[in-house]
Amino acid sequence: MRSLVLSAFGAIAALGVATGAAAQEDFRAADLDRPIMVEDANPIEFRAWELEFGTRGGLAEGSQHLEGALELKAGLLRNVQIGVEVEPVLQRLGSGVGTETGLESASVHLLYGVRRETVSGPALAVRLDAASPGTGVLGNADPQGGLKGIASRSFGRLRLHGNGGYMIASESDGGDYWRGGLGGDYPWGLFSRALLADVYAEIPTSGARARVWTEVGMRIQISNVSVLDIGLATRLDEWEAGQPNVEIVLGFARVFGVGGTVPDYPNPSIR
Amino acid sequence: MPARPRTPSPSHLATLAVTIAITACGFPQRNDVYRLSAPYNFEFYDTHEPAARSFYAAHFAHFGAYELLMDPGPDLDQRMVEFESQVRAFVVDPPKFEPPADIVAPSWTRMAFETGQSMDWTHMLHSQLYDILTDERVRDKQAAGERAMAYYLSEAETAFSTRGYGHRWMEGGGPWAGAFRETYPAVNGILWAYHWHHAAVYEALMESDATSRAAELDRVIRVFADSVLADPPTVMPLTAEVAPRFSRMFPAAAHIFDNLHMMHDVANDVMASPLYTLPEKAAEIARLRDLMSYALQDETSAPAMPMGPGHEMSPASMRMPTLLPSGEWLPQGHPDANMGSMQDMMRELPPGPAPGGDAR
Repeated sequence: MRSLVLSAFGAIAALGVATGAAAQEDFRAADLDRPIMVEDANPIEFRAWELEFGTRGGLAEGSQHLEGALELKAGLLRNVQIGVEVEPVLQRLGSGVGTETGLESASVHLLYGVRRETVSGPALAVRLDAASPGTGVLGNADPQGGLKGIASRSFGRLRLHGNGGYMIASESDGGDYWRGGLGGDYPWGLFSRALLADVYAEIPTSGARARVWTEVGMRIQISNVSVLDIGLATRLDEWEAGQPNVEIVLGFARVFGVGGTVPDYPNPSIR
Repeated sequence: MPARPRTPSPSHLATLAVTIAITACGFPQRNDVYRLSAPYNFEFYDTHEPAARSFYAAHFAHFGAYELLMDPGPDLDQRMVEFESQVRAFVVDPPKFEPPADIVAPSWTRMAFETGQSMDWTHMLHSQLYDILTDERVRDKQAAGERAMAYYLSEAETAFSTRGYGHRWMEGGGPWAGAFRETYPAVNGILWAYHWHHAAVYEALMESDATSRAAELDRVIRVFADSVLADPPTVMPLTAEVAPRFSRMFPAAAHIFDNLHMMHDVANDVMASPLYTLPEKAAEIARLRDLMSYALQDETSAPAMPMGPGHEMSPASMRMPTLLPSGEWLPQGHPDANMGSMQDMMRELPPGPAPGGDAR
């Protein structure tokens, strides 16, 4: 498992080198899973594109696993972010039992920035998700879809984010569930690094036990357009017999632009 | 048997999403736009990192001063003295990357969001013109620069005007004029020194080859630290008087940057003025930003320059935008531009002609 995590880190580092000296301009953006599950209400900029790559791996006894995520986001309209994501997953089921691999799902989302933060009120956004079935025994059996509301509010340099929504899933994928969480980010010093933390829960409507995570991490700007994220996550509901199920989260994001038309120079008046 | 809780269906979710989108029509939104995609982006930073990082103390100084002035408590003078020390520390040891305005000034950027956005958008143009002048791969600097400016101006409400307003708004725009520089001359001096710095870097990048550009940049940074910052300008320098070659190539950009710098000073003055409540300051800053925008420049009369004590402009600002026989224009403040009369300066500047006609 350690070699898997190291390999993933190597891949991230290689991507960073290959893309030159730059990724996300905003080290402070609380992007979903980079490294916490609670996200902020600010969509990506109009005409910006962002490539994110991340891994999440756990070393729990008897079930070592590694999840990946590759996501491409774009600001195709003002205040609108659209993204596509694939999530490969690998799980080793104990010595001698074997290893399973698959694609948990492929998904698309649309995030709309309803309002920006003002003196009197928070930033608000709404996010629509749709996911396809996955592949292999680790993949989702059926399509899923959901809606989420997002609010972000600053208190000095501390920003708090509240997420809440509903996800529709088939019985074979565990059924519908409510999802939500509270998170925050705080810049470490004035520049280039931010600390993030959250508590996030998924509550099945079937009455089954809630799934609860808590996470802490950091985003570090490593170039003018690139950000590295690293974090620790744990499923609080799975803490049993003193064996905390701790995962390492590691990721990379790079923002870029793509061509586009520019109007002719208007030769404006300077008088 | 208890009833199963009612759960949303896909049609419920879609209806809710449409309702939210319609509701949003009345809300202020971010409307953030990404920089023009180009291979030269960040070339200045990658080639001349110390020079690029030398700008960051200015960003901190501008937005940090606004944030301090959000709370005009009795200890403000002392906080401003400590702030000046912080700024000078960043001059010597700047951060690795540009400090985001919303971290330096979290309250002010919420209050004056659109003005902060105009400043950031114009900083983006600053950055791209530095990149273009630095990048050896860009052969036609003029065409590349005008393409970057066309992209900048396409956000007409966010972009600053291309007209030569000189010092008119900061001196004649309202009763707040001069409030900051008179109350906090030391910090104001640093800011005006940086206005010199920004233009001087352009002029250094007008050198013909990479070696000369690097040497001239080193000289500019040295002069800035040793002389300009030690003995700051007593009036806000105009871009064209410090960077005549750059300003001749991009006269509209010279005015855009003068108007950006003037808006920085206007925001300082309004924030430092005891005549307004905080909501009134927000409204006044927004008003001035609109008046100095590119979108409204054909309808806007700029105020006359008040004369007399307390109102300052550089002698170069008497040099008015000038059309050369070649068809080129020289911006206000250019050393080769024609001198205007004092009467010209003491009259309102009427709305300019429609864009697309008379000037490059």
